[in-house]
Amino acid sequence: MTSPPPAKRDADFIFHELTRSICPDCKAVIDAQIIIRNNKVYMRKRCPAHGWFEGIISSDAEMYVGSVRFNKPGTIPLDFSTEVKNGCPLDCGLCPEHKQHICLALIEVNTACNLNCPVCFANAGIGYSLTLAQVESMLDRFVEIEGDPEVIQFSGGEPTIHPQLPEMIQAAKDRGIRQVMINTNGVRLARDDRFLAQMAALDPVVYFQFDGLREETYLAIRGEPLLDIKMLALARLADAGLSAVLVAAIERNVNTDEVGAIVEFGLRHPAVRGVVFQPVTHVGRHIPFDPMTRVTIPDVIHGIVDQTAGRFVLEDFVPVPCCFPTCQVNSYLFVDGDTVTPLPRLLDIDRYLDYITNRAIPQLPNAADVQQALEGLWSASAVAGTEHTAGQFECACGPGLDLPQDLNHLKDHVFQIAIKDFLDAYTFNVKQVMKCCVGILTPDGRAIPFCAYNSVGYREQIREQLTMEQGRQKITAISNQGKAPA
Amino acid sequence: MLDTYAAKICCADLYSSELARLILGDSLHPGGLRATNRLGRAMAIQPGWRVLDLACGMGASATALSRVFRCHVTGLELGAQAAAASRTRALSEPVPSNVAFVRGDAETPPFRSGAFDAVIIECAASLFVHKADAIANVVRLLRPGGILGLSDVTVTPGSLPPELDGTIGMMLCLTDALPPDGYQAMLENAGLTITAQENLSNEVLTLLAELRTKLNVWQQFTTPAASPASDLAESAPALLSQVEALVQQGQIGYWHYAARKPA
Repeated sequence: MTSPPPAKRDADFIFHELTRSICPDCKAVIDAQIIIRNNKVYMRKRCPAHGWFEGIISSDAEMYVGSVRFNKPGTIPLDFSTEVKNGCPLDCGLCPEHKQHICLALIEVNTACNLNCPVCFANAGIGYSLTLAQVESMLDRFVEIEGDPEVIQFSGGEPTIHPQLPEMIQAAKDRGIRQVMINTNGVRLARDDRFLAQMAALDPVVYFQFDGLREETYLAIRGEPLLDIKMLALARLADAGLSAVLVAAIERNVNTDEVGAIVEFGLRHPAVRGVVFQPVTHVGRHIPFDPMTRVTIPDVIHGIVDQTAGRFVLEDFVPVPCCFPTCQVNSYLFVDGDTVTPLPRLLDIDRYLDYITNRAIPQLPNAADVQQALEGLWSASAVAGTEHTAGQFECACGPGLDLPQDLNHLKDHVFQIAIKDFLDAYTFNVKQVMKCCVGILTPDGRAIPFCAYNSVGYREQIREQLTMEQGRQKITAISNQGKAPA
Repeated sequence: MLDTYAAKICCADLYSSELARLILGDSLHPGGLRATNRLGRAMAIQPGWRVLDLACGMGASATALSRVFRCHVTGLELGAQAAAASRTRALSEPVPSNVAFVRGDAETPPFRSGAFDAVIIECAASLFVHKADAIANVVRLLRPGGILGLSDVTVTPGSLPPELDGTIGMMLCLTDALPPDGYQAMLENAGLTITAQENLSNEVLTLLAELRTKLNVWQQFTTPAASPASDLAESAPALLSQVEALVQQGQIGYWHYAARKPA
């Protein structure tokens, strides 16, 4: 017996590019390869201390690679808060090497929550609660670095249980910030009439956690049956005239089969102006997962297409140019009764938003206006259910549609679908973080890119610092009163 | 005199009209509340100050200022509807503000001398018929060492084409606007010392872009006969482009000033 002569063989993957990531164990910044295998995209990396890691980052390589041409040049903010010292992602933020300004800023007003979900990227629980004065100074800083800030989202923890949330929303509005959102599980909105009335008067867009239409989904992701509370809260939002965007955390083997139903439900519900799908980010608290089979953007798109009986095609979903275009896709629908028209069917969006091949834009007299409107819609700062977004929609495709006769009602006809894939330690890509346009504001005046905040260790650091500070202040206050702590 | 007064009332009513509100939003000047806050910071308004907002329109700036700077704001407005709506609006806001609204003429404000720590005049000084007298009246209202904040549209004399010089020009605060050094001289001639000034002309371009979108929408949805302002809506896109070009050439701008009364 002789063994066959040695023969060279081809690798079973295409080496796409080299980038930088972090070690899922120790968070050290390490090199990472992006490889394509069987039309799927994976990140493969090695930590000198913890060995090799591999995880899927996109289940459709064609979509992933094709999105590159949607990469719009970034806009430089008016001011930076840090210096380049240790390199991305250790100098957040923003440092002068960041490639984009902040389209959407979040303020996590507290860490406390009225739920205790098994899935929570923010790892809500004991910690800090910002004061109104802190939030005001963060908003002032946001205005300073942006000049003309677009969207602020109050998050947590659970922001609705912060006693000064109404003052915080008002403070954002008083500073001329265009859109204000609250990110909530809806529990307080479902139960508290006075709070609901306050929100109705302040009119923020409600970014409403809504994972599906099955009780088992809530049991798996939220740890308790919440379907009735969600339905009650949504009905109350509709009665109060508030707009909601459904935000669904999507996890493999839990609710990937519900994405179509969530869209259909949203389209029919009077309070709902859009749906945001967020594949579960495996940071903070999460249920056990396999990095090789996690949900990615194409899984959600295919899910929507397959589960809505021909309402959508893959081309209805277009990458968002302001962030790194692999981070988010959007679609807009014009809804008139049972007729639903995706905006990408009405004009060649990919021509207007193609920044690399720069294919000729149709020579319409208002082509520049249309492009500007589309950039507004395909942005992380587009907020469903607002007159501003409706105006951009109208500007982009007005003549092609039989629009309603009343301006105030246009926003009720424009429906947004967004799919946003936040990074975790397995998918963390420095290239994406460097152009991130979603920032978490911190009381020390920084704006830290969302995925860096969650994955690199900023969250833990800032939470500890704020919690300790607040503890010390309480102790000082008590001792100044001459009373011993209980 | 009566004619001037009638014109002012008409103008005040125009600003509080549905069309103006729809197109310009609640805060009827370039930069909106962002610019208001910026001026407030340039004036260094302190908590507890008594502040007068002269020609306060729908009262959006007044309520916001009172909350952001934790001061007492009195809004003076000639438009009857606007003055009444401001009051109702402030009361219905879930977060209280420390404001009061008074109906009256900004050129002859009905307050005693030295009553205010600060006076703010946003996009209204250009509409004053007797500018020097009006500013002298404002200075009278300030306590010694008090601060005047003024923001307004600036126009280089002689640069307005005829089609922007009529009613439209008046509506856009262009007709009687001064050049940047004109406001400076006006404040200095009234005995004030300018402590800060800033060019906010970019805000005009932002506002014009927004107006364009809103007008597009307005035109889509309004049948020509439905509104008396439809003539205006029709000629507006061309006028907007014209204004835009003038802003880019530096002929039209938007500036703010903070100026102190001697202590």
